[in-house]
Amino acid sequence: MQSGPGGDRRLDPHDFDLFADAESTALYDEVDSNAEVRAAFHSQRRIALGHFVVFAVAIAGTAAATLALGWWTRGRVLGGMTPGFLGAGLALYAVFLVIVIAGARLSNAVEDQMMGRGTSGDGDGPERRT
Amino acid sequence: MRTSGALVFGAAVAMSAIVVAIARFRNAGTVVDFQLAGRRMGVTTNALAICGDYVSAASFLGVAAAVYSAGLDGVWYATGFAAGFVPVALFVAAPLRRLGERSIPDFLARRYRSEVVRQVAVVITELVILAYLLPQAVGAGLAWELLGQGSLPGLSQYGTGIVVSTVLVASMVVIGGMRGTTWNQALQFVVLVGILTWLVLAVLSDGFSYGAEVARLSAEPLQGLTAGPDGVPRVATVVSRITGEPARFSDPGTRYGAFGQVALVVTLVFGTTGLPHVMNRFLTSPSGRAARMTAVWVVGLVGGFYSMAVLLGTAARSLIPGATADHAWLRALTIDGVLEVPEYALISLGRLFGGDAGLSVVTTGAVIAIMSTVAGLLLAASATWGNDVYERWINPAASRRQALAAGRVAVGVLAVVSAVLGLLLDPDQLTGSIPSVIAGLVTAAFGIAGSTLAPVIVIGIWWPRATAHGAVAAMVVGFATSTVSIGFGLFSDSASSVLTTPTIVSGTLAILVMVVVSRLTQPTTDVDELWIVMHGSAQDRSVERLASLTRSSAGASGRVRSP
Repeated sequence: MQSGPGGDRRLDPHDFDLFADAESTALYDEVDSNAEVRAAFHSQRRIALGHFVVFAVAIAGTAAATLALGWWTRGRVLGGMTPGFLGAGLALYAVFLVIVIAGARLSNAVEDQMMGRGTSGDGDGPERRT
Repeated sequence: MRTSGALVFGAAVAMSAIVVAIARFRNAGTVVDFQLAGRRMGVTTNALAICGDYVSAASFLGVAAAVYSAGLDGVWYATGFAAGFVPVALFVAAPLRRLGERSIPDFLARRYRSEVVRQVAVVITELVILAYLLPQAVGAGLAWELLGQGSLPGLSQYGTGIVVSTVLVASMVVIGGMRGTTWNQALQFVVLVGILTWLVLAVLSDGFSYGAEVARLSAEPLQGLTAGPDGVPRVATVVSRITGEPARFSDPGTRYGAFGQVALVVTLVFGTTGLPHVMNRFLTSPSGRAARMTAVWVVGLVGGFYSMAVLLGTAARSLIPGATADHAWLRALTIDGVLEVPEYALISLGRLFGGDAGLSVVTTGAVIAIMSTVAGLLLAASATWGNDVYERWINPAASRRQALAAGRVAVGVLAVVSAVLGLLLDPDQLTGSIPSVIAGLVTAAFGIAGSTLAPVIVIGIWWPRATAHGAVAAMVVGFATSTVSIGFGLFSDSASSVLTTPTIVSGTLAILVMVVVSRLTQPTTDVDELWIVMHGSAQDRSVERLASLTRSSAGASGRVRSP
């Protein structure tokens, strides 16, 4: 069903014609148990917070270096550009992309591995219908 | 109007009209179709549309203008705008879609099981939308001033731009709904990227060396405009707000102090999560996972866009002073080589490298960016009024036709209100207090959104103990503190610029209030049930399995039909 841990294959809008007007979940025949969701939720929260910390450190580090380090705003790299300008104007965008790709792949993998496996955990939720 | 301007603008309008007509033909005529495009927008299309929605006048004209006028401090505008989608991808996109409501107030009402939360969220959503619409109207007016030489009877060129763009975009939204708007926004973003790419290639092929020019600009004090004793603008050296010495292009402090720079980025980062027109788009994805991957694509796409905008802002600062001697039209826009209105930076580059046609292309791009964002804002307002106000409170037994009509009326009313406010606003009043008037006003909308909706969305998704009382208290406190701060910042000459970017204080205050009040009140009932929907992946698996079946079925049919 999934294409792998990444699960990030492109989705074609025409794949979802069945849902043109379906807001209800009547067509959904898969279920998750409470235990599965609880376990996955805690993992997801750790992943999101962990990646957000890296993101915050990248931004704060760049800003702090700009304010505190002389060579960061006076030094010259790549044809004369300052490290500070290069960081804020170009490099941070690449860092953002790496962070969200890594976070999304991990989140997708957690969902694949921790939910929809037909277990009822502690028995307080419905079984997945197969 | 110049012939080239009329042709380019006419072509852009015709392109949008064709897309809207096709979308109108494919619309099923339901409320979900009108507001959420039937919830079947693919990842790439939706990501492009979100970028079109997000990249407004503040990004297309404002970022280059901010870099042009404030150097590195302006670069942080672009960084903040792009960074805003990182928390969206990590924390919000998938759970928001999985709960599957029709608008942000609808989502919050279901999460917190409270109609009061819905009502407060509706008021704040509408105010954020209005705050965001206003700078778009200003941008449309400024762009039309450069694009056209004609105006409607009784209106200035600035006013004509506001009226024409408002009428066009409101008509397209009413006719095309979310599907037409999505396709238009996706196409419009591709056009905007194309325009920036052309300008970047034109600048670089003319011998512009990015690194060397940053070094050259940074070697001498930055020049800016300031009001002289007689009130007439004159060129003066910009003094750093950090060191008190003459500021340079690649130094911090041209517009913000140390705290101000941090406050700006925090406001832009967290404000994105609270923008109703952007977050509504994730509700059009077919699944939570598709919404998450859409956010990932958006981070990549906006990163590319803003890196080009920063380069062009730098190019404008580098090239415009030397070009004034050869171009009378540029002398009319500048004082001693410095643009009187920084928003003209990108447009001036277009004319320098493409003549009248270049001017028309870039100016039309600005109008496209504005129309694209305004369309998203009007649709978000329509969803809120149609679903959260009309169907919930005014006419709970509304028929499909009545609900659609209510949404369309809301589009018209809000379009008129924003146009009138835009006509009343004099952008010249605000240019002294913020680096770019458009980016500054949009930042104010980010400030309110990040202090109100963003905390209750994120905490509501990730903290089961968050309660309706906590959410209401947080939104009220965040709204009061952010609007008072922004009001002082925008309209007081002596106020610190930190006041216009208040999220670091007002958002933190809202979070604290939410945690304290939630701890003191009864938890939301049935959180487990909500959590299974919001954090479970059963819906996603069903959607993907059905999609797979559809593909298999289509493939089998194709094989049968094949000779």
